[in-house]
Amino acid sequence: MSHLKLLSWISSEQPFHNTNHIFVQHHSRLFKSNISHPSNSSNFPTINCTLRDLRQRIDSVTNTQKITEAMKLVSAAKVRRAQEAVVNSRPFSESLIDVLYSINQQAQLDDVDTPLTNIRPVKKVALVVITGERGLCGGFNKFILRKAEARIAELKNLGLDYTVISVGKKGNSYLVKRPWISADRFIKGGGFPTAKDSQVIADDVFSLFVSEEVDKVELLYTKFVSLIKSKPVIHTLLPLSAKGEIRDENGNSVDASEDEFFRLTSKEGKLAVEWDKTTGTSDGILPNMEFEQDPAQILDALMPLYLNNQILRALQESLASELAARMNAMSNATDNAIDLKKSLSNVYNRERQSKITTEILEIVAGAEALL
Amino acid sequence: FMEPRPPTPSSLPSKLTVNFVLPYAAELSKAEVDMVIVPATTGQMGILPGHVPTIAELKPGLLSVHEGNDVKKYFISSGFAFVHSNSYADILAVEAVPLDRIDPAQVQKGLSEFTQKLNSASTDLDKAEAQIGVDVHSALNSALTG
Repeated sequence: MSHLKLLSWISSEQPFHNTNHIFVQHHSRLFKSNISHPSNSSNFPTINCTLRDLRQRIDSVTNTQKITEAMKLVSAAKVRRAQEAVVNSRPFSESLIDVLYSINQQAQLDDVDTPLTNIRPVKKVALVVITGERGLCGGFNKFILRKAEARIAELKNLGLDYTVISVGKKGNSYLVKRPWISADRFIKGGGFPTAKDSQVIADDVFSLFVSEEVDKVELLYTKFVSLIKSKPVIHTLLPLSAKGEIRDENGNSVDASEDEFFRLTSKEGKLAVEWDKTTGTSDGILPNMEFEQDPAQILDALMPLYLNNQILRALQESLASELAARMNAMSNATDNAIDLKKSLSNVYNRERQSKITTEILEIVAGAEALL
Repeated sequence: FMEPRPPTPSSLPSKLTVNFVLPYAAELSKAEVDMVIVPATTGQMGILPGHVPTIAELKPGLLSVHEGNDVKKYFISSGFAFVHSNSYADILAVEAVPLDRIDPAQVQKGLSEFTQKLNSASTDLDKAEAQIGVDVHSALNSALTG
């Protein structure tokens, strides 16, 4: 304060506004350096003290928050549609399972042999990994790919060969960067899964299995448990066996520990974890069921349809889990953005107020100096 | 979530309960009808209440649901029909379209296109594909006219 008075005394000859101008500049510079410390006592280590920078930052956070909120709402709407799609496809697969079961029973009495139920000692396993198309979905893709890697390590330990069929852009790019994992085909997903998409995968898997290139096909997808929880699971697709395990040449079981077998009579729950296991038509096996065509022919036609349906269900569930994960991730991002905006605004306001205080003080001091 | 079927009644029920389902939706769910005509691979098959339990594979063709004087017609691509002993019929179709949504001009065009392909096909694969196209389109044609 003392050398400020000195300054005004020295320049007292000069016109009033010039003196004031120099005085104000000098004064404000001093005050600025004093101010930098108090605001840094807030939680941010690298707060930029200029008001303009803070304002820009607040604006960009607001924009980001609007975007993440919009993405959350879009995902929420799509999740509902995806769930409906899964529920709608249930009557079809249930009726299919129903009849497959009863035909299987009957067919075991006659000597029917279908290629898809062929149980061979396992030497090579095909893994169909279903991932998402886009990012911003939290840990969704990471979990399923991690599970795939774990399964590959397991198979390597058992001394089995493997190949990966990847569905979805995220999985594709992951595998492309890792050429040491042998990958068979990359299939592009996209949009709502339809029977056509699942047919492509089904054809591929079918040809691999029937040509005896692989002896077991497993499906890795994310099961939708609830809106905030989903679980990556392994499901044995081929060979279709009612029960029992699939073994390799040495008789060791090659199934994953939490494998979901080809379930003839089970239904999986949806939103809440309700597992209503109706026992199907265990009483409805009609011994006098007439076959319009040869049972072998009917089984031949039914099996691919069943395969297709399983894959479609997995795709739909995977999509539903991805959308739920994205919804949660975006919801968290929105909350974080709101919090950040609040604290930034606090700092901004404090800055602003201290600047106003500075100017007032200057004016007052200037007025005093004149007196 | 599908309730188990009711047990076989002692007398013949008057109506047939039909579940017509597609992989992505249920077209008809527990609809009580008088008769259903399905295009089985062995020919058109009519299902009335009290039909013996049957499993039939379906080929592309016309499916008609008769309820009183109403007839609803669908064109199905293929599928299965299961009739159970208590007059319950499950019809599974891979793809089904109500007949009024099919454009006859397109059908004709497709038919001529595939017949041409069949005639000019060289490999067995091409011939098989063209034959399938011809089959489906002629079935569509007869469904629209018949």
